[in-house]
Amino acid sequence: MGNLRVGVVEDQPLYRDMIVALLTAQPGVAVAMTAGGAAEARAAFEPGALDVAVLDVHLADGNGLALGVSLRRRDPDLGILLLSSHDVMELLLDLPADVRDGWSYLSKNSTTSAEVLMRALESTAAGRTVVDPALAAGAYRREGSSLAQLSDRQYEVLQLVASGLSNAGIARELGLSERSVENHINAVYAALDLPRDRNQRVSAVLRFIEETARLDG
Amino acid sequence: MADSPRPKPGPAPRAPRRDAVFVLVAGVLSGCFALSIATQTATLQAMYGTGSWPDFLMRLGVNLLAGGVSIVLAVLVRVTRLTWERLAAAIVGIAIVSSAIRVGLQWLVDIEIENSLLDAGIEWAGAGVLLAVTLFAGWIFADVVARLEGEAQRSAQQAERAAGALDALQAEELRVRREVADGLHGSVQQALVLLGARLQSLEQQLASDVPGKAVIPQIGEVRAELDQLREVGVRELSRMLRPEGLDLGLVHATRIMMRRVPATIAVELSIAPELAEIADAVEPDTGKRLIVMRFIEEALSNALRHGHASRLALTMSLVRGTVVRVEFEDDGRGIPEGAELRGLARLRSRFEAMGGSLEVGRSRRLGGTRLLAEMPGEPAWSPAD
Repeated sequence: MGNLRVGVVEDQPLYRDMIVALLTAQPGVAVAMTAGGAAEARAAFEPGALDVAVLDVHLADGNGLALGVSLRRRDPDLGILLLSSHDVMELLLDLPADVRDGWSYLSKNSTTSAEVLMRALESTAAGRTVVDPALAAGAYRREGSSLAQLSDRQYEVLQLVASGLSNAGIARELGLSERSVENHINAVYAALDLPRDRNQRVSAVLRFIEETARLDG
Repeated sequence: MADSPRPKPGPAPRAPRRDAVFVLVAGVLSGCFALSIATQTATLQAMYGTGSWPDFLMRLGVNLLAGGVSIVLAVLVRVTRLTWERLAAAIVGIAIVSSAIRVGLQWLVDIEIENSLLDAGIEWAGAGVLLAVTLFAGWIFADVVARLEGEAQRSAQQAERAAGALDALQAEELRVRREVADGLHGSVQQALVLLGARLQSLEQQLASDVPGKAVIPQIGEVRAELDQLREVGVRELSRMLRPEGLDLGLVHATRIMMRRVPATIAVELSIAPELAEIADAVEPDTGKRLIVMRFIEEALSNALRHGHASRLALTMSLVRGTVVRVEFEDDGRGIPEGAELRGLARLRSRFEAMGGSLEVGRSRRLGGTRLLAEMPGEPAWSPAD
């Protein structure tokens, strides 16, 4: 696989420069487009030129969500990574069905970590849905929801799936074999009664967002 | 639970007043007819030299009496409160009876009428028509006056409601301003003062040749405090001024708010797809959205703080094309009388001022409170796009 081609749409110049610098310093990443607003991004965007578009949710002349929907409709293979200084990962729940896969969400605080940013970019480019690892770790299962039926281990695995880890990454993190991680994930799919299609992993992450709370107790 | 207090409707247009207008108009008209008919006869009689004052006065008296009887009968059958069909029947009936009484009286007091049944019939029918016209005119007048009064009353009530909504809005704004100011003066300023003091101490330690590495943990602590200040101080205050996600639409702001409900509370959130999908959702404007969010906040705070609810259900749907309906149910103890109910009543007047509505009742499904709010939205809205 060649370079990961990334576009950055962010209206705060300082933050945009910081992200571009961080990405440029990563091996295997090329920043192929930058824009300071929604209109500029629409004009500069060429289908097929990017693997992932990194979009600020709150742009001065619009919002990253609507921009993402229209860019994705022009390029069905484009991954979208939303950034926001507010915790708004719920945004991923109301995407139109035709563009639902391969959307991720990071809070701006987390983007200062190159490792977190790169993992989110790679997962998003592969069509997976990833939420901010810090937010996923701090999410509590809602009483009475389908997530409440999972065992603690299954929930832990789902949290890591939502954070964008591959099965091998989860296995390393939890000290399990990849095979047993796979078993856990299949058990989660079954317990959540997710439709059996190629997007089960995305559906599981969306269910995770839908049925967790920010506060315990 | 009982419905919360609604601004008292003004008194309905009073029936006695309608009756007074009716009696006045019908009375004046029938007086005029009585006089003019008696005068006409007297004039004719004068031409033949048969007229006399007593005869004229007698005729006038009988005419006035017949008119009076018709009006009294009309008041007794309450014509001012009848529908059109019944009104016509009542007036015709009263006119027939009163006119017959007139003919009878004329015969009794021996007023000279042509001694034929035909003439008596003509006299009876002619006076009947006049009496009917009189009653009908009185009814029309009374109705018009009542309508005008009702309209004036309604517009006065509307003005009162609008003024109430404005007051509520200003009170709400003042409350939020006060809380934000308190937050800035209190926690945020205090935290900044403490941070300043810590930085000063670090400065002094570094100046007194303490090796730089020794202060690294302290710098970490300062950073942690800054994070805390950003999250708890600044973000909370900004949330107070404007609910998160408001610019991205009602559905997002609602989802964000409901995610903040503690995990131990079971929440059923159901949002109609036509509202949820980003591209072509129906959406109230920002001002209306803010009021809907205040409603959800108020509902949550009532359910959790006062009602001790353990289960909530929030259903958002689209009704009558472009009206957003938010139904909130819980299994709590209901809303206590007092400040909470008044808060909801204030919110209701704000909904009503924007063409919406807010109902308070009991949830049959969950057993606690049920709040139902409707707010008109605009079609084909796309979030800031």
